[in-house]
Parts: sequence; C-alpha cells; structure tokens
Amino acid sequence: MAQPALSLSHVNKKLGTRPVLRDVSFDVAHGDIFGYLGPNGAGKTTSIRVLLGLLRPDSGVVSVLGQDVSVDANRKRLGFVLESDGLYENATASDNLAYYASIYGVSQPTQRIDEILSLVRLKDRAHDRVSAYSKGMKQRLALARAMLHNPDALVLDEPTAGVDPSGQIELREIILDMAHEQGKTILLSSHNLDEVQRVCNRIALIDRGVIRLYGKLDELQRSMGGGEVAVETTVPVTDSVLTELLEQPSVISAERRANTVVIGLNKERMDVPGIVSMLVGRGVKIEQVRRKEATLEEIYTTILKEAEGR
Amino acid sequence: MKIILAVAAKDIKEAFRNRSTYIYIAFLFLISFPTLEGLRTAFGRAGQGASDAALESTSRAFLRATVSTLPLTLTMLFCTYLSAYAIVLEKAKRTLESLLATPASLRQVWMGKTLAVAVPSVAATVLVLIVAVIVLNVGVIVPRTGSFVLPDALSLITGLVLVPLLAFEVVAAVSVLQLIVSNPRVANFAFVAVFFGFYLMTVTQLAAHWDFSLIYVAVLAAMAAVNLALSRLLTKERVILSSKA
Repeated sequence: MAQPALSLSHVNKKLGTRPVLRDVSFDVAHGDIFGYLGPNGAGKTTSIRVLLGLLRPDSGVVSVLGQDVSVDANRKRLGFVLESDGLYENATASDNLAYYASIYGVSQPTQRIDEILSLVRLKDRAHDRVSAYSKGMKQRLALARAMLHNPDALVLDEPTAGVDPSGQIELREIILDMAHEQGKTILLSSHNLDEVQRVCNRIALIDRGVIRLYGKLDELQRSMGGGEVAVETTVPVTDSVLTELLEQPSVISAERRANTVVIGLNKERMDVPGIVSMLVGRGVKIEQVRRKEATLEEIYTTILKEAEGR
Repeated sequence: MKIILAVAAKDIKEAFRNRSTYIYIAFLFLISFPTLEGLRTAFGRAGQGASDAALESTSRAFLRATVSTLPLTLTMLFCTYLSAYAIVLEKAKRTLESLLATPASLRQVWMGKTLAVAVPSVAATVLVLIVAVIVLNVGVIVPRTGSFVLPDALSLITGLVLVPLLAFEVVAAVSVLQLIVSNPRVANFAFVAVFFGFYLMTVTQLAAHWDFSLIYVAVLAAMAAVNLALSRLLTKERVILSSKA
C-alpha cells in the first residue's frame, strides 16, 4: 500500500493538564482532498499544528510525505494556510511573497511570484499594501503564499472563514484547481459543511479530541443515508398504487409529492429493484429513481449527537 | 545563513517603513545633548586658568567615559523600539506562527530577529556617537583648547566593538524571553533597565574613571552563558502557546 501523504497515528497531546488530542489517527492519501471537521475547540487546530511541527505530540507518530515533520527541512514540500492568514499588513503582496520565497529558497522568485499572483487573480494588486485588501483577497494571497514553493501537500485551516460567498466560490475554485490540475494533496479544515461536501472526497470528524468518523465521503453518505428512494413518475401515482407500495415488506413509508413518490425503506431489507418492478407492473411510467444519501450536515449532526450521548 | 539574513532584512525593512522610526533616531540625537553640558561642567571643575594640556586631558577622560557609556544607552533605547516590530507585533498578529511552519528553524528565526534589532540600533548609535564627538569638539573643546581631541584607541574599541557585541548579546537574551513569554513587552524591561543605568552614568559622569573595556568583556562572557542557558528553553511549542492573544 502506498505511503500516505499526511499521517497522524495514535497521536495524544495534552495542553497543560487538558487532553486535547486522544489517540488521533488518520491518513490523507496522495491526491486526496481531505475534509477535517469538528466543532470549535474539538482539536482541529491542535492537530494541524502537530501536523506542521509547531507542537510536539506527547505520543504517536506524525509524518508528512513520509518524513518526520519535526525536522525543519522536511517541511519544504508542505504548504499551509493557518487560521490567522499570517500576512504582513504593511507590506505589499509582492513583498510578502518575496519574503517567503527567500525562506523557501524559491528559484527565479520574481517570475514565480508573478505566476502565482496571476493564479489567485491578484496580479494587478501586487504592489498594493495588504492592509488595503478585502478578507477574500487576503485569503487568496495566503493561498498564493502556500503554493509559492510548489509543495506536494497543502494544509488549509479554515481558508474561507469570514469570506463573502463570491469570495468563497473563488477560493473553492482555486483549491479544486490545485487538487485536480496540479495534483496536490489537500487537508482542508472547515466549518463550512457545504464547502467540504462540494470539494472533499474523504473526511474525518473530530470532537473533544477524538476522531468520531473517518472515511470516504460518498461511502459515508450512502451508509448513513436514511434509506429513502425517490421515484419520479410521468404522472402522480394513484392511491391504490400507494396502498400497495405500503404493503411491500421492505417499505416503511410512502409519500406522494406531485410527480414523485418518496419511499422509506427498511435499511436491512432494501429491495429497490423489487419496488421498481412492482411499480412498472402497475403501469407506472418511471422517469428517474434516486437513492437519497445523507447530507454531510446530517452525518455531522448525527455523529455529534451520538458522541454527546456517550 | 540565508534564512537568518532574510528574516533580519524583512524586519529591518518593516521597521523603516514606519515614519516613527526616523523620529526615534532623531530622539537619540536629542538625548545625547546633555553630554555637551556635562563637558562644560567638567571644564568648569578644572578651573578657569587651567592649561590647554589639562583641558585636553579632561576632554580625553570625558570622551572616554562618553564613548564607553553613551552607545549602550542609545542602543538599548532603540532596541526597545525595534524589538516591538521584530517579535512583539509578530506574536500579537500571529505572523510568527506562519514563519515557524516553514522550513526556517527556531534558532534561525531567533538569530534573524536578534540581528534585525541589534544591527540598526548599533548603526544608529555609531552615527549619533560620531556626531556627538564632533559637536563636543566644535562646541566646547576646540574653542577652549584650540585642538580637536579624539577618544583614545581603547575607548574606540570599547565603543565600536565591545558595545555592539554586548548589544547583540542583550538583544539575543531579551529576544528569547520575548519569544517564550506570553507578555513579551515585559522582557523589554531589561532594555529599559540597561538604558537608565547607562544614561545616568553618561550624564553624571559617575563612572568616568571606570575601565569599561574590562567590565564589558566580563559581562560579554556572562551574557554568552545566559544566552546558552536561555536557548535551551526555546521551543516552537513555547513560542506558539505563548502567542495566544
């Protein structure tokens, strides 16, 4: 099995006497866009600081691109945007990037800065002071700084926090471009569940320092789906068809909503082909059958409620 | 070394972007004026009928004390101001956290920031010192003795070599404290304490007969030991956790 790009294995961390991370483990595979979710104070930022070598774990193993992150030089292939953008407000965008270019030892820095500022659509504002930038522009510049040295993996801690909707869309496009066009591995910590659902293929959910959920997003959505199927028909189904549907052993509920029947199925006995055959046999003309998957919001709420009950 | 210089250059640039830095340098010139009055007083003590040779000797002694104490006074004062840009602001604005997540090591950052504070402070001080020696000569010494008196070689070595080294050591120690304590401004009291001590010595000529070269060499050795001990406390974790607003 290929080595993961980013990995935390059985990591424990206390801040003072308070345990902040408890046996935290997750892997981010090369090319993944990994969503890291959790409520405030759950341990996301601490995990990220451990992953960036800013905090030392009390126990457990942290590796970045197969290397020990506590060795300073090993962070050269890693880019990041932290909770605070970390930009020098009195300096221009170019000066901010030039400084980091010298820290990373970027070759041909002027050319690279031009390239990267074009990518985040800030080239025309390159010589403006950062203090004159909007929140969205600052976040784009922080992303530019993260990509300046062409890293293999990026750790982004709430990059769209406080950014207006159009700014969020722009940032999302840049993140998707980094992952799909440039093949970067991305760990994205966010409170914006809609954003995570749109861009991430894998997620982990942390709560009170414990990973509560971890896996491929589509699989989680299917496995945690409510067991509902929506059947779109050309004309609304009749009452008799609805009654017959409810008599099926796998059907728990059936509700008619205009040209759609929403059928609640027993999760243990989900016989979708049988239902479809029955409807076709009754002369119902079907346009589309959709299995209803759980949204990330539903997954998030369910898992946190379960955790609260423990 | 590249990273150290990059950190230092950025911080110096950042400080000199601000107009108040230039006002501060002007202030350094201003507070060195009392030395002029100090020399007049020394001449007064020597007596009205003192020979030129006696006055030249008085001048030399005065310049020796001034060159030994004034630079450290001024350097510490400027360090208090510059360290706000190099570390205090960076911790408050969390830009330091981003810097520490790069391949830059904490020691490189520490050295870079120490240079960023010490080098401009020493440079500004040397400038003020040159002007002070010229003004003392033109304003007091030449009219009374008819000759231009320069500080002796040992004083110059003290003022131009030992003081910069000592300034670097003090800044390095204060920088460690600023990096690891949650209220970095508290560490500035070290600068302020040295500043007041030496300012009093400068204006009162209290230590006119002390051999500062030896004192400084001893303090340099002690500060090197202090810095070695302090550097062991320096970890990224301490810096990050003490940066909380």
